[in-house]
Amino acid sequence: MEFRDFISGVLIANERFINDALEGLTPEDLLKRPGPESNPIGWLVWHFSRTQDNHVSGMTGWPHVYITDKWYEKFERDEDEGDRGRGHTTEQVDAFRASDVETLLAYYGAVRAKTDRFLQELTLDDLERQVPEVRGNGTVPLAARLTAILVDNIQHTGQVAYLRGLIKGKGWLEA
Amino acid sequence: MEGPEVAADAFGRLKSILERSLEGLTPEQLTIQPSPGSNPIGWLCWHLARGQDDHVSNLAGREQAWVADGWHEKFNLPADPTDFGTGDSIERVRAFRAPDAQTLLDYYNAVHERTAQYLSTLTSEEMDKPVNDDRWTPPPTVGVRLVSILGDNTQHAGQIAYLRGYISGLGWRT
Repeated sequence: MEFRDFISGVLIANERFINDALEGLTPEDLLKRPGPESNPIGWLVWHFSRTQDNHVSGMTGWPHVYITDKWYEKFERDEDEGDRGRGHTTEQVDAFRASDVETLLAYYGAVRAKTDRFLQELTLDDLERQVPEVRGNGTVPLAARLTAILVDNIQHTGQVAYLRGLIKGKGWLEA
Repeated sequence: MEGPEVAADAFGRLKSILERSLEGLTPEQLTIQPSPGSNPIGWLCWHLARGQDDHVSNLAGREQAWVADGWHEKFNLPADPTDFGTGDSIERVRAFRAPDAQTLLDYYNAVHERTAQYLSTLTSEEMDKPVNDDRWTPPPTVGVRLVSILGDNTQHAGQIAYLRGYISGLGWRT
């Protein structure tokens, strides 16, 4: 199994959890916070989608689909590619509104299509190439940002799944 | 960088996420549940480490660290390799007690070291071979099994980090 299939495999396997965890949630469910500073499901899905959109753009120089396809309008937010949730205050998280599950999944789907296009073109040599780091002005090997996508995406999915259990009770996820 | 190296890199990040998330937590904080049906940090970390120990030991053809190195004794649990939390009732989850955060991290780090060792010898070709596990027909490949362990473990690490934020408030990571 080469790196590309491993990375795709992880992202594909994770989609099942995203879809199952979001199924049937109402716009109110998407805003529920278990603690005053805990992130709700809607914000989390928007954030991990924005993060992946940003990582792939950082590695390729491609624009954010968030901007080019005007997803920011559907989330009623500014046309700002720096707006992806990192460093949000609890008030900013509170003010975030995801209209519904369909919009969240559609934006994530658009990001994943972009990631797949990127992965198909990627060669082993590319993995060693230096790309800008997320924060700061330095560079990191491209492989480090690829792993960061996986770890960020799956951790936040785990949080979404946990919140689903908190809202709907244990037993929602079939083994 | 091939499949095994990407996997090793990702597992390495889990170790630092867990160390940061558990740092300074008291045994009581390890049992905090945001709702009566939700899993607390202590159980989650134990379950994460147990799952990796079970699955990777199976891939590597070794006895689990839980049994072979006596980790079960530190948790006052029997030397049962099938006890890794999957399917636990909420009563069992609530009854589970980790001695302290350091013991959880020590067990995870012991498991992680074995995983890193296993991945360092694994080749891309070996990842395409079926696993030696008669619980599944047909058995998945080694690569697919690693994808699923990494996915499971990373989700739980995210839950632990989330709960740490729930307990300590925003800004615990800075």
